[in-house]
Amino acid sequence: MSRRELPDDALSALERLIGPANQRESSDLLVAGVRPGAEVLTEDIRHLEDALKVAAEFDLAVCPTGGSTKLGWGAPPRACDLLLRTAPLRERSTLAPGPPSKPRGHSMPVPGTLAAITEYDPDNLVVTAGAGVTVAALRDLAASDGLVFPLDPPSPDTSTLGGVLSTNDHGPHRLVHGSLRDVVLGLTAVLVGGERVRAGGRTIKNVTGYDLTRLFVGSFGSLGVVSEATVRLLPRPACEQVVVASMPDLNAAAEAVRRLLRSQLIPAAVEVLSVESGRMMESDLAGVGPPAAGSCFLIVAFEGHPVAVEREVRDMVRMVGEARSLVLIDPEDVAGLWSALSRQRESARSLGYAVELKLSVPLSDLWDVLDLARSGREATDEGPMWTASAGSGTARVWLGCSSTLGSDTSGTLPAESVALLLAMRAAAERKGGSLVVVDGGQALGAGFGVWGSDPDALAVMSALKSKFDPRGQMNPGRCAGGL
Amino acid sequence: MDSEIPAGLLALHEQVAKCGKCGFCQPACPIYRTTYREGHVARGKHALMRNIIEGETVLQPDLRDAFDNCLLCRACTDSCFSDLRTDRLVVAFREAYAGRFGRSTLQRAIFRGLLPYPRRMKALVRVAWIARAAGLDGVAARLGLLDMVNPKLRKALELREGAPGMFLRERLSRPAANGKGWRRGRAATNREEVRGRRGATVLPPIPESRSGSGDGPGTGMRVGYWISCGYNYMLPEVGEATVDVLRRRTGASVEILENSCCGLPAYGYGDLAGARSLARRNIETLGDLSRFDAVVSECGSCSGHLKEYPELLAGDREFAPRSRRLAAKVRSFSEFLVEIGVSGSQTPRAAVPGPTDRAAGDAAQGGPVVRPLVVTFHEPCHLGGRFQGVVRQPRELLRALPGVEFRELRDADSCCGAAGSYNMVNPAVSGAILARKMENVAATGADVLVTECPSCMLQLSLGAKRAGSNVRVVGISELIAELQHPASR
Amino acid sequence: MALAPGSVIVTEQLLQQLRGLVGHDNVLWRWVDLQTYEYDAYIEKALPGAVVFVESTEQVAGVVRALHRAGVSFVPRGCGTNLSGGTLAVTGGVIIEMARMNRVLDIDIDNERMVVEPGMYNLDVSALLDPFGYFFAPDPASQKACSLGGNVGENAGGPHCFKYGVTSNHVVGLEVVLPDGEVAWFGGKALDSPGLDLTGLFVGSEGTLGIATKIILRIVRKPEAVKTMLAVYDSIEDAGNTVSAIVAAGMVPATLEMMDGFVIRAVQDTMDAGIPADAAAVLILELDGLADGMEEQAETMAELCRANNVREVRVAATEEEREALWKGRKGAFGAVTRLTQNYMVADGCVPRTCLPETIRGVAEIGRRRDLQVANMFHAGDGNLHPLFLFDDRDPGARERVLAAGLDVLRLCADMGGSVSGEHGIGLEKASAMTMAFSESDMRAQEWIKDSFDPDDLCNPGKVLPSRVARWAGTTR
Repeated sequence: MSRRELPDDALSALERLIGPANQRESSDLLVAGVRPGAEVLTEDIRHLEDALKVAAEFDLAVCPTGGSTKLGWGAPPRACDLLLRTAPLRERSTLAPGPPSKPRGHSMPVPGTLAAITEYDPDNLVVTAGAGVTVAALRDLAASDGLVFPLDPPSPDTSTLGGVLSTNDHGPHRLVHGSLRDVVLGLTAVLVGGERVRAGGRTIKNVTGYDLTRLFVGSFGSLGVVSEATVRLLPRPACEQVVVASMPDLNAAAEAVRRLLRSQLIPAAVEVLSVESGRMMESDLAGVGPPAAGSCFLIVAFEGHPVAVEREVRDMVRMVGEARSLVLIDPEDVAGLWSALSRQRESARSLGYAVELKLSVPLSDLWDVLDLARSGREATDEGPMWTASAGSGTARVWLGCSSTLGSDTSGTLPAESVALLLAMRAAAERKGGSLVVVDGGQALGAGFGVWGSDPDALAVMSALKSKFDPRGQMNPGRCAGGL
Repeated sequence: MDSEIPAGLLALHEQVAKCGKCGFCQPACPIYRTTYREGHVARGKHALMRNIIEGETVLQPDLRDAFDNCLLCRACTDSCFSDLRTDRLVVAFREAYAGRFGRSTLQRAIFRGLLPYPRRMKALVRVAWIARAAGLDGVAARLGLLDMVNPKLRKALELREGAPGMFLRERLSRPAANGKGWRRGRAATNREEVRGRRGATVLPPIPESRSGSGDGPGTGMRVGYWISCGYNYMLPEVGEATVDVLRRRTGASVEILENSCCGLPAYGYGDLAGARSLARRNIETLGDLSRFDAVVSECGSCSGHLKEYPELLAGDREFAPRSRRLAAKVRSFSEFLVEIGVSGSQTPRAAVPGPTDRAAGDAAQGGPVVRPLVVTFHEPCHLGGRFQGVVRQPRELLRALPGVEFRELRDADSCCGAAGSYNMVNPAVSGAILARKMENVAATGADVLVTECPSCMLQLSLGAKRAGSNVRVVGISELIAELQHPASR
Repeated sequence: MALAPGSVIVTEQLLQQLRGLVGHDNVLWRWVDLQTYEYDAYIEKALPGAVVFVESTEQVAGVVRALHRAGVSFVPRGCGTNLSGGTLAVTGGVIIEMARMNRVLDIDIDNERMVVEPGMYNLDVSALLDPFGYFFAPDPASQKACSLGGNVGENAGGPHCFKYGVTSNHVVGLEVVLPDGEVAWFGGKALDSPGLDLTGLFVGSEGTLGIATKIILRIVRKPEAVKTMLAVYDSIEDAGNTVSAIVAAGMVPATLEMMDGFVIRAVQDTMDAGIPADAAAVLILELDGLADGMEEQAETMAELCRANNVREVRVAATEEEREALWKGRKGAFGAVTRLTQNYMVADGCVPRTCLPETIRGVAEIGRRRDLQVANMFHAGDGNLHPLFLFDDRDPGARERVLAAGLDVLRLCADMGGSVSGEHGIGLEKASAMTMAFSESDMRAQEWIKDSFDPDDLCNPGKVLPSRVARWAGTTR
């Protein structure tokens, strides 16, 4: 899609309000294949309000981003006049949070930058932070008080709170910590026109009006730009142990997972990795033995009281009787293992996988759909690679690692891979789930429906969208159903 | 407006206004669980009562439906935070309705002119049975008469081929003529000369031949046996079994009381005056209670209501103390047995063949296999936790029976839907409540469904018949007599 | 009774239409019947125009379509146990009674899901799951008497929510009849349905966005072991500090319940729950999970109680002892009720560390409004439920109680908490919405309602202050 020029008036208005340093008339970034007309860094909420005021005034289409890790996600926007960044395009060193703005335990949100911690209250286990704060910064902050930031999405060093929240991106500990919709207690968003809207609060129980917080989680910026969110923190478990098993085949892994989930054990994470996926993080899975074709890896974490964890590991070993080999990860290496898992997305890209899919089905149906990927391996020249969060019924699947593709996004996916994708999607949707092309949808050609079938209640979603964004300027067409 | 409200109701204002409308009465109420209508549950009734008392609405015929649709089973009162006694409130409003709109002359005739007089009752019931035999039961039923007199009767007519050969009272008074084997040949010696009141029958204990001794824990005791209408007219064999077990197991002598109806039907209709007069009449009839160690009935409704005489007669200077003395002596059958120590610890008298499981047996050894008799218990409202608190006793007796596997019935204490005349007020709902009860019975896999109330027994028999189930419905004394004195049967 | 302007008039023609859809006996319209639908568990009353009993999604859709065509407003109602007036038909509209829609549609252990109709009792869900070794975590105090549809509407909580989360964390999909009678599915058995999270938005929407007709629940494995302890305190501060200390120590008990001295004395007056009557507060602490490590954790917890000046800690060794410890908490409501003609239970949340200060504030409110107040808390969540005692027949007392309720909410808002923990906004708390939200926040709230229900027919006059104000004076 060709880039649309911004009216000069709009540019000068932005420059006047936000300052020339934070604005670029052109952008070298692509939003799901679409080049923005201009790019603006909104350092604080005032900037954000001003930018969205200008957008309303000049009828600009706005695409928000945080750490720019997910620019390729979603359907191509129908237009992108303005790329709006809540975090600078740099490593997190410059984004590290300052000291809490107030002594601990006292709440008084201070408008600061979008990359700052607004309020940190470890005693009450909540943190409020700007959308541009990275997940890693929040994680480290919580860890400094012996707490856990509950979100562990991929690429924590560059993924921002706002981005993760808007795209509903999860990591392995979702199983024990809950989904984003469960741990985000409240948020502030700025709507097109610059109006600021607050939703939720900072207590876990809260039935004060409609739950706008959940409405914004996973909304892909289609309603407004999240500027700040309050997230529940958790106490750090006394002990964490991770067991990795090499399973002879998918059935064996499925059976082990089924036994585990039906048991009294309370796993904190249950990840199953295809052989390719496991190979990618071979150094971290060292000791489990070389992966054989058709096999897969099972990673199970337990956390809690040491005595309980010890018993869980013991029982777990019995449940994976068919494992080829089984390793209890050295406690010192556990963090490294999670970190390697969180880098899989980058690793896949560097290996040349062009397309990332997200599969989501009822727990027990995961295996049938993943089995299609296995059979697809024979049909396509390079096998799909996947990592499943088996306790949640979700999986990331990477496709299209072919010499003709590489990092060149203009390339298209081979027909066999497209066929496999469609077969998996049909199977997932039949089970009441979904298969979404998360990233790299351009490789599937213009007009390919990255989201799959339209959501059932699209009419209601559209009605909501038209209230928050009556002229359809917020990330137009990028979210499911063309919202 | 206020002047139209009976003073008795005004006095209830504080109570009904206490209802916090929390809704905890709903899941407990068998009628609500069938119709899901607010007017049918305590909370809705309280709202209507309050509106009447506060003059928002008046005692109008339309509201009556709400007060008619109550089983008086007290399931709601059990879960009421505010401790409201909805059953009593409902009776008070039923009374007010009767006071305002009058009671039908038929009802009046029954409660005042029939129930107190066993002889008249007997005659009427005879007529009904004859009508049934002559194929005229439709006529009798249409008159509505049977329901009003005693809904048990109509059910009995529906269930049975013919009338009992003789009513319980006659059977017990004429042992020699009794067709049952267990007293054959002993009749002459079992008669004891009447002591005390005119012509009362007193039956001595029966020594167990095998043990060689008639001693039971109640040796030397004298028990007054209260004849409930249900056993008297419809299920005399249960009454006989009760008396038999009392005589064999307790060692007590049993005086057959000359009581009339306990008055519960009149009370349920809100005819408190009628209920009180029956209560007084019974107290008079029983006379000096000092000759009894206990007054026993196997009818949970009768014993439950007798224990509430003091409340009914609270304002009565003469009868309140007498009713308290009576209530103190009243025991339900199972309550009495367990209290004096006749419990299951007594060894079985005979090896009892259980039912055979042919299919399993054939497969295993080519012959039928004897398995334990599976027994469950329906707890009558007036017997159980909400009235008499007799919960543990019947189960204890059943568990101890030889060759019996006792299985607890789900919601055993929830009303079977008989509830006096409720099946006339709302047959469809009563039927649905009964059907749910029978589903729970079926889920236990029981061969025998035991209870301790003739009204429940007839209702449950009807339920079994409707469900096409072959579960046997028996009174608790029947099963005890059958299993522990098989030789005598 | 005079009709408020704009009140619904249910015509005979509409009644005929409704009877045609659900059967003659399933439409109530006579005043004698309607009187029993003018209340829920809140204080105020409003008379509906009719009550319709429904038994299937098709019937709900048909009825809603008919009402939508006729422009007649309606209120979905389950068991009517709402504490904030959410099921009152303030416009005199039609109550759609869901209680008979109470079937289990699917128990899907493999997928950790259960599909039920909205009329099912909350407690029945766990009873049905028990043989499988699973349970449904949200356990509102009314779980015996409240329906899942209502739980969804109010986003109900309960003691176990400290560890397991509220209703919204346990509902993953809904079949909904929208206010125009269209039927739509939100979410499903799988997580992360593409598009907006309408399930999340719908839960807690208090029946104003449509009528849920099927609910997909997330079910949880029953814990292997449970350990319960009762801690008795001489000061409510110490009890509050213990709660914070337990959480700070990284422990996640299944429940952290607290009762104040008033409640303790009420309990001891009606039953022997074994709590010293002169205690100022008790905590009921329950751990659940694996049997292994349970002893150690219980000891740590007892240690934390001792470090905070506990007078006595009792640990239940058997199931009977556990029930004995819970006896006081479970009987607390009834015990307090016996001390008064009527009561009103308030509901708000504060950050946990503010509990002691909030408790002082509530006592002050009681003094100022001349009301006795008993305090029960889901302390782990910072969720307080002061009970104000009064006599419903005294209009002055009623006014004072309503004012005290709002005072409590103001206090919670000032502490940085929320004005509704688990009872919803309904009628009761609409004016408190502005304590939490600005004008523009409220505008967004209005958009939600307008998107789903542009004609304002579905449970009108609730939640949003503007809507509640429109129908002020129609209740009594």
